[in-house]
Amino acid sequence: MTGQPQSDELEPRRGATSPHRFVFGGVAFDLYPPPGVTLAFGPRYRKGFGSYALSPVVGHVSCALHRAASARPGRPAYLGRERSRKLSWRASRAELDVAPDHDGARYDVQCGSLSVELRDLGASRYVAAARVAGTVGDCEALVSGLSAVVTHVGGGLVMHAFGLCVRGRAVLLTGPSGAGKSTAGKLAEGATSFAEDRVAVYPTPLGWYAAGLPEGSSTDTLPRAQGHVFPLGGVLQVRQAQAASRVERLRPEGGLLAVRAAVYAPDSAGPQTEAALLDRAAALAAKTPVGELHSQLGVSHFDAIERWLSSGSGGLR
Amino acid sequence: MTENEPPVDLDSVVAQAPRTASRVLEGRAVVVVIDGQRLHTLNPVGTFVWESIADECSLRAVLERMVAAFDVGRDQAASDLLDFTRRLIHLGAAELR
Repeated sequence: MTGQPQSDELEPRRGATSPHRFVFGGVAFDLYPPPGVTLAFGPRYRKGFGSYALSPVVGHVSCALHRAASARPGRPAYLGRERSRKLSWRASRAELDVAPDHDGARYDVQCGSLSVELRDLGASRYVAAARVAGTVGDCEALVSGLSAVVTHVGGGLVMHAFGLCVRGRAVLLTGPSGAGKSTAGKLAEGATSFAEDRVAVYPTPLGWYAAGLPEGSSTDTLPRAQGHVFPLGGVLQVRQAQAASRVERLRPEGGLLAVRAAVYAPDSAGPQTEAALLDRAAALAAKTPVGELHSQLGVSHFDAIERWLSSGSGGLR
Repeated sequence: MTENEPPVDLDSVVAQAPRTASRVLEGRAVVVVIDGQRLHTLNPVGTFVWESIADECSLRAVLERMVAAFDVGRDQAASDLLDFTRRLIHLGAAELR
């Protein structure tokens, strides 16, 4: 058996066992492990946080996903109590209950060493299946990779940024490696952080939203994945400065440049992909204030960021 | 200009390099040079030149458009155009045809 799901594994089928539910990167997962594999859920992971056990995972892992866009600001993403039959899966054979006449788009996705089949069911709902023959790290790669792919398929972007929550809104600190994003973020006393390195941003009817995409090989990575999504309040490019911290809004093209510079692009991106990324970055920059945070080392920037948000430049009035 | 770079003059025919992408916001272009993963912003004059070479075009034709569009002398415009074009080529954003 290769890692690529066989076509008969995705035949319409009824019935499903209870899924393991969590939110990762603003995407709600119902994940079905292979038989005999236990996924542990501790008390601190209630309300949508998931945890993987250390058990080796060998077999088919299937999942139903949907974009958790209906979250209230600063609250765990809404998971929905009712599951559509079309999103029911049979754990034992990674078969999914999709209407036979469904004609959703299919994507072949590579998540680390895993080959994953992802189907778009419409309305921000997806199903996916993969054969996992390794450690729990493969499950992490599966979940992390699918979150990023769903973000892209839904018109969003994955950005290299430190994510802060200020007054219920996401503020993304961007800049090249070594620019001081994490340092600046950790000095924003009064804010809370929801991502240290990667953030998924995506458009919704309510505006752009942001969710953290935690990384790491530790089995603690996923449990620490915060299930919160936030309306995007602003993007700040970090610049180190000697003077007191301040925020300056960027001109439109500077905002586009700052956003695009922080976007992860596939290595194989061609002109069409680049143009699409620019369009998405421009759409984000048009709806979201983008500025420069001149960051004085060793000093909290929370007041400067909050003033910027409160002035209306950051979308709060 | 270095010895390895081809000469650029007003008879040169220039075009945007195929592995670039760009968008213009409020008269200023943001240009991505894909292979170097470099991002550039252009001022309004640079954006005018950039849009003029979306399809291959002689620099003399671009110069005529510049002189008509901007309040600038021909000699100054020609000098600026040649310098800017050399920079675009050096950055991989444009190429000679």
